[in-house]
Amino acid sequence: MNIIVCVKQVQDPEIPPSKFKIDPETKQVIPPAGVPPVISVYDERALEAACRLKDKYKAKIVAITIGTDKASEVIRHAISMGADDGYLLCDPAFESKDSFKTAYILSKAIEKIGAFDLVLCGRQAADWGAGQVGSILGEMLTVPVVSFACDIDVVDTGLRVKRVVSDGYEILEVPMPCLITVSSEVGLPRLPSGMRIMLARKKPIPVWKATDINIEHSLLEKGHEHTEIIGLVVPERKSECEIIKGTPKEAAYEIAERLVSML
Amino acid sequence: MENNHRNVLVFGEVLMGKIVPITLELLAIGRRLADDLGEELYLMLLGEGTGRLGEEAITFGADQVYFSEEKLLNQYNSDLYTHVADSFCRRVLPSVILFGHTDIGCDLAPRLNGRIGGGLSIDCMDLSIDKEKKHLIMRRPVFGGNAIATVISNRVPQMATIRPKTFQPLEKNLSRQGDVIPLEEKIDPSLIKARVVNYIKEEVEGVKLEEAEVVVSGGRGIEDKKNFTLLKELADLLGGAIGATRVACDEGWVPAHLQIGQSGKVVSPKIYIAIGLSGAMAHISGCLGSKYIVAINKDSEANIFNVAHLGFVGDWKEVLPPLIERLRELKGK
Amino acid sequence: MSLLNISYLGISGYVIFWGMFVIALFLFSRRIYFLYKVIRLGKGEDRFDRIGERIKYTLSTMFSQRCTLKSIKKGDLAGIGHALLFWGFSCFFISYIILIGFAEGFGMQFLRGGTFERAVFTVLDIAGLFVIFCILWAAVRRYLIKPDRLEMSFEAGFIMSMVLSLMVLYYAIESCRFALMGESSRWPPISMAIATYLLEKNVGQATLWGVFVWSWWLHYIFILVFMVYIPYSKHLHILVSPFNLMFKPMDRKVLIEPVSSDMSEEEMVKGLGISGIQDLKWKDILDVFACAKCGRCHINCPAQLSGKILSPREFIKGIKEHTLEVAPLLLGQNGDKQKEERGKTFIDGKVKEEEIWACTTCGLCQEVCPVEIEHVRKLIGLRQNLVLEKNTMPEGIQNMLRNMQMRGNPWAGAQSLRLKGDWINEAGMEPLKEGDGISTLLWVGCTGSLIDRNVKATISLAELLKRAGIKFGVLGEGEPCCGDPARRAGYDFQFQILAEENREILRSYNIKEIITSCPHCYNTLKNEYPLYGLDLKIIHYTELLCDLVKRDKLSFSKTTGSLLTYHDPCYLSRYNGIYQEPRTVIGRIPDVRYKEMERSCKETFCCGGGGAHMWIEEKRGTTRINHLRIEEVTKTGANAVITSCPYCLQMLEEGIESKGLKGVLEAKELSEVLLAAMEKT
Ligand SMILES: Cc1cc2nc3c(=O)[nH]c(=O)nc-3n(C[C@H](O)[C@H](O)[C@H](O)COP(=O)(O)OP(=O)(O)OC[C@H]3O[C@@H](n4cnc5c(N)ncnc54)[C@H](O)[C@@H]3O)c2cc1C
Ligand code: SF4
Ligand code: SF4
Repeated sequence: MNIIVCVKQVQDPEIPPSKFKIDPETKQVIPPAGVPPVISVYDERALEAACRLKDKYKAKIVAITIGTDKASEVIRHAISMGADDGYLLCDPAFESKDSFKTAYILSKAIEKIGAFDLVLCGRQAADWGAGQVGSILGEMLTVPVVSFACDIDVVDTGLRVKRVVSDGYEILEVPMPCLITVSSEVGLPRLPSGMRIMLARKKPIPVWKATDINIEHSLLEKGHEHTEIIGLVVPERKSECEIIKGTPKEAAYEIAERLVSML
Repeated sequence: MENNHRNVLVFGEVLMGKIVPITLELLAIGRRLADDLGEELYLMLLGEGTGRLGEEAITFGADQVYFSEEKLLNQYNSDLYTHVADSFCRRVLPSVILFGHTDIGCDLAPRLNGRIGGGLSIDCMDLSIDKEKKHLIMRRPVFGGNAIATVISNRVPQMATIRPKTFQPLEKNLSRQGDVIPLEEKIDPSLIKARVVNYIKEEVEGVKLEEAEVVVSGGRGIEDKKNFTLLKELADLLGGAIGATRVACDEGWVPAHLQIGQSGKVVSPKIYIAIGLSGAMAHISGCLGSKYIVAINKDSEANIFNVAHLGFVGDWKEVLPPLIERLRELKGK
Repeated sequence: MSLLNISYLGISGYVIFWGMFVIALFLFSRRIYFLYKVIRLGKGEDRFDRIGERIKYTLSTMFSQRCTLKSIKKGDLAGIGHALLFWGFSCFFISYIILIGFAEGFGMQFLRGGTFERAVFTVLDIAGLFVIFCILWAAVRRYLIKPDRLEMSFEAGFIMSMVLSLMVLYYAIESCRFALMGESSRWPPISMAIATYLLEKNVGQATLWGVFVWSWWLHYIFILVFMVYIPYSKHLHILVSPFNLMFKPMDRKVLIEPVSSDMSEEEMVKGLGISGIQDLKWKDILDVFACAKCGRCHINCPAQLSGKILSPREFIKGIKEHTLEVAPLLLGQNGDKQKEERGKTFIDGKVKEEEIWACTTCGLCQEVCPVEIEHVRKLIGLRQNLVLEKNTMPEGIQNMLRNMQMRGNPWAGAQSLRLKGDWINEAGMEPLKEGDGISTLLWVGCTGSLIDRNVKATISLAELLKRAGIKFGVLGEGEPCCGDPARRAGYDFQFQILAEENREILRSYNIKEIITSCPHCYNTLKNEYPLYGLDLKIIHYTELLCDLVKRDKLSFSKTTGSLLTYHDPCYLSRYNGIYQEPRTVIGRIPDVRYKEMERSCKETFCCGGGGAHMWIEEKRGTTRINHLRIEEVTKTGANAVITSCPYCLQMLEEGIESKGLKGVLEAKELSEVLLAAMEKT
């Protein structure tokens, strides 16, 4: 089974609001000092899902990412988790927040990688969270799409996918090749084994530019975005929290009184 | 934006023969947008028995209700719904499409967008119309709620998914007029690629999280599964439900369905008690609608205190037992 | 009167004597050769450097019996017994060579008779008494008092009765001999006294002769049996421990073996870390043969004392048993079998996974071990295998490592990301910039910059240094993790990656000297980074403060009021020999009241937080390690326990809280206490 996993490097989403800074002019987020970028959470879980398939069946995993040269780190991370290969799609022309452009670039890279049985994406990115690259990519690749998967297994007819819905799970069967977006309910991603870390350190990571994957440059030009971000603000929140002083027990009593009076 | 797309379409959802609340909320905001654009408001309903819901929908603001009584559409199926919505849109050419940020909306909107090539923003908290340019302006949280982005779409249809309870439904207006129009297209079952073969309902004991008046939520600070029973005890005393942060769900201390936040449930109870959780925006965005937030955290700088109404800085382990005990006493009286 | 000139049943005494000797020697050498080959199964390691120093150390330790006597100050008097036994038996050993070997065996009769012989027997006579006394004492201890550290065993009883018999036979031979010769003298006192007694009682010549001959041969046979038995029994340590002393790690007590990072994929597949004997170094195998099962490590190990399943003694024993079980197969010619056995691991055989994680790497076992056995590096080697190869580890460790990999620090959660670097503002400092001209860096460490409680201590330290006029910089948000938790958890590659990255960071700032606040950072930066190309001057802040007070650059004017005690962090005192410095500084506080704990300085007792244990949920034993330590603190009656390690501080504080001692006892970082003892400037 050939699996392609699309991953993205994002600014650490766990930084606390007090450290979150933006530049409203350029509508960019200013990366906080000393906090390195990380792999987007859902993408990491997509990788985990791929690795679990590989643990169980014969599979080859290829990870791809669009990003700056720094983003090769997420490919390394993918390889250390279990991916066999990885490519960094890096070109100034790729710089964009538009989901269609992202999907287009990915589709071209996938075309170059060749035949696949399964493409995995995170359900949304942990930064801008547009939540649609997977579905658009599925349409571009003309394969069936299943979203919000938390478990994937192989059956005769293709794949059996457990999909998260608000009050339970749906079990679907879908033929391959297909595209599945992965939700966080997959569970915690594995810690890369030592062997794989060293492997990933040594592995050269090929960089593909627009010309390498036959991108029509005109499609990436400005004006082709489907959506555009015209404003970015950090919501102001003033704290109006009343802090109870005193011992924990006193506080507990105070809270109890208030709760009861409110119910 | 020069094009021949007109009118606002709401993608409706039906449950047990009734229009669900979110659809009525969408009709309300859709109405406003349509009026601002000077266009009409359409509603689409799929599945057997939807035809007779058309009149009601009109009283809530729709101008035209399109429905399909096709049996195959009774249950949501991603492939079929995408197909039906796509061919409908290609025919009717709406300029705006609104979806609920629900199981269906979250799946369908991106797929439809992929097929039709519009511009979609998910999880919008506010929509308005730039009257000059006839643009839809969408505001949505990004970076886990740390920032709010304003997004416009350069393509049509302009699409958005909206969280339940963001808008109020309109008052029912029985005098409103409109058309209820059946969709006659036959559906080819072979369009189904991904087939639903089973459905597992997660059993919830006690009060349902989304409906609870009181939610007691725990995070990393709770430390293990066993400790959550104490939170449960508190929740039971208050007639509420327990929730959790993603960390607690990931650790397996509570089932994944109790996750509250950006990628979990959205709750707006009367009282939200946040214990041992830092209040990351991605979590807070799931409980901001709460009327009264109580926070117990040992870190005085934790973000939860920026949104809470009442807080105590300290170890929850020292607070919860006397709190439970005191509540028992007070309730006993 | 040589017994060898006589024929027995027509066979010459010489033939019997040498015949028996050759058989015994053969059995003995065969075993020794086997053991040698087993040791050679281990991987190579250079422990032959500074050989002169090593030999000197070995001889002086052995003959002074420093190794066993060091524990008597803690009331363990067995050391005296061992020393007496050692010295006493050494005398006999020498006499066996001279009197039996040379004088009898080679017929060098001139060695006998005269003052020399008289002197030798006098010494033996007295030594014999000591030996008998020690054996009886040991027997009483072992079988009646039954201390924790010793196990009942057949071997021990056998050896003891053997030695006892040798002594009794010695007196029998010598007294009969003197009686037969009709000599009377005051020396040697005991044998002569018995001889005189026998003569007075008119014991017949024939009887005396018979007893003499039989005793002599029996004595000889016992010596040979003893010789052969030693390498087959736990008393192997008699032969091996001198070598173990000789090949000990020279400069530091505890060494950890890095996992080589330039292995090929095939090499990695063969195995990472330690899983079976093929992964041990030869010294590790020597170690297990050197163990006397004295149990000193067992009764001192914090894991054992708090009721965990780990006992360092049993751990070493387990590896020994496994080794002896598998080695013959590994050494054998049978190819298939060999391959099969090679795959055998001790993990979850003789050594349990839970054991491997129970160790806090405190190093106390190695400190008290009389024969310099290295437990910690084996335990870490096993962890390396579990983590790097098998990918199994406690949940907490997994989270910690993931966090370290993703976010470059071991502490998870929002707080850690918020605080990183924030303390600098509070301390009124600015992060170092390239080209500042500051070459001294205060390395705060993750815990000191991320965890609320420890941040307070860090701010005090910065203030203290400023007041002392030290020019130093900090990296703030840009300060990476030193990697200690990863290395102790066995995730060695991560450690190495961090070490290399940090080397580059520190080079880019042109740092010459680093003051560390955390002993764990200190240990890694000072002892483990040089291997990765970073060899700077590393000092712990207590060293610096000690130097400052000695030069009167720092002085204190207020007394503390409370009774103080100091808890030595393992990684500072035991690992790096820094325990005088903090005491000197504390001593400078005016009118200070100070009381030492029972276990302190090099033999300090762990707080429970080292060896990545800050992230392991302590398995429920009979108690917790930090509780044990707090109990020890309370015995001093102190109101404040001072330490100089962020982990210790957290652990002590937790211990105080959960033992309900809040308000009676407080835990403080040294820098906090010192700052409070200064006048406000
Ligand atoms: C794309 C994306 C989507 C996400 N979606 C969600 C989501 O839907 N829901 C969600 O919850 N998270 C979500 N997250 C994760 C979110 O960013 C945070 O990581 C998470 O909410 C933090 O959980 P926490 O507050 O339990 O843990 P932490 O942030 O680690 O906070 C633990 C808190 O407990 C306190 N504490 C510890 N011990 C005690 C004690 N004994 N007494 C009192 N207080 C104590 C600490 O002071 C700390 O403030 C998402 C993240 C991303 C990137
Ligand atoms: S290092 Fe400490 S915890 Fe580990 S075995 Fe030795 S004494 Fe026990
Ligand atoms: S390892 Fe050392 S201290 Fe422990 S039993 Fe063996 S000889 Fe004694």
